[in-house]
Amino acid sequence: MNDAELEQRLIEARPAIPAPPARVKETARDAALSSLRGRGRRGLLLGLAAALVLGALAVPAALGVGGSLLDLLPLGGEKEQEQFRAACSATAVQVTFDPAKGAAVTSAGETLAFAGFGRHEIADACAPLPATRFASPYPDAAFEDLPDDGLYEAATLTCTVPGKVEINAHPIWDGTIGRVAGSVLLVLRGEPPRALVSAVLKEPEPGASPGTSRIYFMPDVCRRTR
Amino acid sequence: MARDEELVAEARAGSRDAAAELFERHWARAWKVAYALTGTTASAEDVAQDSFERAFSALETFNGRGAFSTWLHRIVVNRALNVRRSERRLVHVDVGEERARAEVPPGDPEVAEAVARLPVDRRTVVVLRYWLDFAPGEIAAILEVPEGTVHSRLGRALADLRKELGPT
Repeated sequence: MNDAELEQRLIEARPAIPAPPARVKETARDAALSSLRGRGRRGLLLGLAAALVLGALAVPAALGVGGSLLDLLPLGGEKEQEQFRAACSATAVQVTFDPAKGAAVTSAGETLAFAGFGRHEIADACAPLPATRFASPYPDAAFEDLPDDGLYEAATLTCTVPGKVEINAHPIWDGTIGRVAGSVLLVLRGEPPRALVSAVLKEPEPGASPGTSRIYFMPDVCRRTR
Repeated sequence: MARDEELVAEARAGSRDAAAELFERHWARAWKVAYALTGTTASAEDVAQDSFERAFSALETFNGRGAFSTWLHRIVVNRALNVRRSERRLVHVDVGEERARAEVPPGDPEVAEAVARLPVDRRTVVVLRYWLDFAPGEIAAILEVPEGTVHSRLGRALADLRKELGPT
């Protein structure tokens, strides 16, 4: 069966999807229009979002990431879609992920990188690599070893690496809302680089991007320890 | 007829009529997307209604650079996937049970079952592409991934399905 035949079979297998019931539509319309009026609720949600951002900014200190780090992402301006890369020496790295706060990469007790919802940092102990803008420096093949399904819960991973890793940190630019909606922290090894870990941090914000923070990791190389 | 973006601007300014018109234009499609991804009427109702509430309460964050429908469908898809994840966290559901529970009558049970067994990222692009007729570019915008990623997920999904369904 070639692709065209399989695609045709898929189209023919399309389930019958009925029209939504009228009673549901009325209820949903009333609820939606009420939320349009609900300025009080919106104010509350924005307050929560602000608290989350402040929480994310507080995380680096809690993780031991101090002022010696290179601040790689001032929010706004032309850096909004910039990809930052650095090479770090390590034989094993630990990745700590909390979907509500951020992700950190450490090696031998030293924090190499951190990513929160709107900010990411890489330690100046790592050697900066050329940054790129608006496009990933990696082909899709760099991510083939990662599974399609990510973890959506807090986790700690330990990954064995061959003396050096590449760390990439970049913002997630959401064009529909016109601002940075999160960030991605990648750990890669080898030449050409292959991704071992990809942590996606996104704000649990109402609207365009409901909370979808998650982490993907190469199971042959990284062991989950928590 | 006013464009969606004009209705969004009016709704932001407080026009219930404009918001009602947006709801009227997009409700049925949003409900069908939710139904195709969740497989039950109850979940589709929750997801579609919740998505409109979220969208309308966050209209001020929509800046019009993309289509309103894309923005809305992104919310619907994310909500639908979250609902499925929540259900799976609570109860282990195998494919057979899930199929029995689902209310969507499969046009071809063998293919529907093979699609249900795909990893969630691949299943999502297959449903959006072949059952809901979204173009790859639209899927990329909805899922916030590069269009190349959509094509690679579709390619992997077709390879998986070919193995499952055999040479016939």
